[in-house]
Amino acid sequence: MEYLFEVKDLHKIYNTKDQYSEAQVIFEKESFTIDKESIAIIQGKSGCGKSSLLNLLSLLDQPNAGEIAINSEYITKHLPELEIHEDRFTYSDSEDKKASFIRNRCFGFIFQNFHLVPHLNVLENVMLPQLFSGVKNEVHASQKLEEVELTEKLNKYPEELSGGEKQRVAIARALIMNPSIIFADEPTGNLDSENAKIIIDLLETLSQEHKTKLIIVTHDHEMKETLKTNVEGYRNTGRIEPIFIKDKKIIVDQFIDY
Amino acid sequence: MNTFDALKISSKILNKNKVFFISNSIAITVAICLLTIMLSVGFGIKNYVTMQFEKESSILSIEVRNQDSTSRLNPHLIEKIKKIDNVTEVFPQYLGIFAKMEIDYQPMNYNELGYPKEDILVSLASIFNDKDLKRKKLSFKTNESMRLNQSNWIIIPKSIIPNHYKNYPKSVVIKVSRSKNSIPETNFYPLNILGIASETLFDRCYIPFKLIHEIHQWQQWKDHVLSDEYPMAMVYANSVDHIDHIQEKIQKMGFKTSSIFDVVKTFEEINLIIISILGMIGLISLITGAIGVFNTSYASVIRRTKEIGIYKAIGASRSDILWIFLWESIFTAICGGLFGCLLSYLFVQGLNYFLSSIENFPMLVFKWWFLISALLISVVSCVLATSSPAWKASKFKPVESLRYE
Repeated sequence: MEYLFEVKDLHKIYNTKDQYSEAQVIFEKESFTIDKESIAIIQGKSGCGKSSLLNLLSLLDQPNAGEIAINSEYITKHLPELEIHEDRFTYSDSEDKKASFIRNRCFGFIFQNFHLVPHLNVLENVMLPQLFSGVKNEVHASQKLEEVELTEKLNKYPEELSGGEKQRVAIARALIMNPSIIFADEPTGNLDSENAKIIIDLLETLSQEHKTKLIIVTHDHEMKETLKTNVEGYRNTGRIEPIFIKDKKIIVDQFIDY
Repeated sequence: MNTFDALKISSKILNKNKVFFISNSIAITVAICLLTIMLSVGFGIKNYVTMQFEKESSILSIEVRNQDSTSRLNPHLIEKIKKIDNVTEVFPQYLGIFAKMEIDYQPMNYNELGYPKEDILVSLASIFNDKDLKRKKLSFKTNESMRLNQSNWIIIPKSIIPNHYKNYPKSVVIKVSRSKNSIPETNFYPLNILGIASETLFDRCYIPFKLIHEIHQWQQWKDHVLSDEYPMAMVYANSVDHIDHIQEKIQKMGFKTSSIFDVVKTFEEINLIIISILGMIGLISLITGAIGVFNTSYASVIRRTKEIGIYKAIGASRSDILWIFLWESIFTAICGGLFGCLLSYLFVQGLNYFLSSIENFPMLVFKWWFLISALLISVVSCVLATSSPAWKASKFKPVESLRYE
């Protein structure tokens, strides 16, 4: 498969609990691809379905119809035991366990609200994906915390950390399994501009170091300026379409007239 | 996730959710405490009654009585019974011969002089030899100057000595009566007291077999005939497993038999019902406790929806989530079960100590297998109570859980 993700005829509806309200259609027959190399930014207004798209791509949610195919090499690299013989992998609702494996070994997650487990300290939070995979390595977890400059706060609990520190713990946790892709949902949404810049820099540097694809959901139009890497962006304006590509060598020209 | 890690996460969560842990543990503690106390009472009753039965006769004993004129117990038949497999001892026996007894005493002070010597109606029983005496389990201090092989001794229970006797008497006189053609006759048997037993069954007094045999012959107007027949005998088996078999053989010889074991067996059936009823009361409290655990676990699952979402997002499988909740529950159950057992043990010991002034025997019985059973029962009930909320938690969709506010 040429792309990282290939989305075909994506259909997603949220049913409301209120019987008098109509179901909310988020995506209707959307088709697009996400490139292997660059950082992808999913951008758009609040409520347009950015996070829903991220959830669908990251196997946290399932589409009502259509197909989301992932390039198999991004999975088999971490999970050879899944024995995927085709170059594209799609999963169905019944494969909950498979999706858990993929989320654990191949994906990393960073959320706007940090989503750290309050009962566990920093080191334990970082090691959590390892615990679910059954392979524990405390030294590796300490190294990740060193990369995010939180070595001194190993034994602190999330409530004792600032917003920026919490997000750095989340980054370390996202990197602990050396994933193929990191999904970041509004990673700077709860941070001040200074901390936001630090976090984006850190995220970008670490993803480059670990050769990890970064998919970021943001409403921040200036994030593309902050990033140093090639950026591939999507927004939902009725149809998902590329809105900008910052690649001086190849793609900028393609979209210069857009 | 391996068991140790799941256990570690669960213990951390419990440590942070102390209110949840303590409230669930208390519910289980109270339930297990009540259950074990109920069982202690049930087994206490059983032990108490069995001990009462066994006070003066062994559970291994079989009472053999003459049934008709054709089969009468005599030394030859006693020897025959002795030869039955698994019979250890056979003693000819007399029971329930009534006589009047005059207690002789030496007054210690003038106050006692005012009391007349009085006749007490007593029931006499025999002691064949020292082995028979041992089997009777009588607890008394022996008068050193007396010997069992003498023929003029008596063992009397403490309870028949009137309260105004300051000193224990040394001798008694037994008065036995018989009548023929409305002419009464009384024989007097002066006896030395061999011992004063702290307690005897039905306040019986024990005298040598030869003497009681003589009294019986005399009462039956057979004093001029030398008879070797006895009204009954006590047979001892080497184990309870052989009692039925021995009884069957003796019955075939033409005798009636009865054993404490039969009575105990009947009582055990009644006792099983008592224990079951008490156990049911305990179980009802356990079910109430389990409902409490179910409620708090359910509330905990709802409260921790987001946390479950985090676990799922980063790769926890359904079984991982299930085990995190189940280990929490097992941990709570073990703590609650242990505390419940400890409390009930202290309660049982305390009550037994308090009641020891009334009855010199533990009224409540705490058996060590209660601990294992209580732990198992509490774990099973907690796991059952938590399994439904845990199953619900394991089925949460990650994206919905993460959005939960």
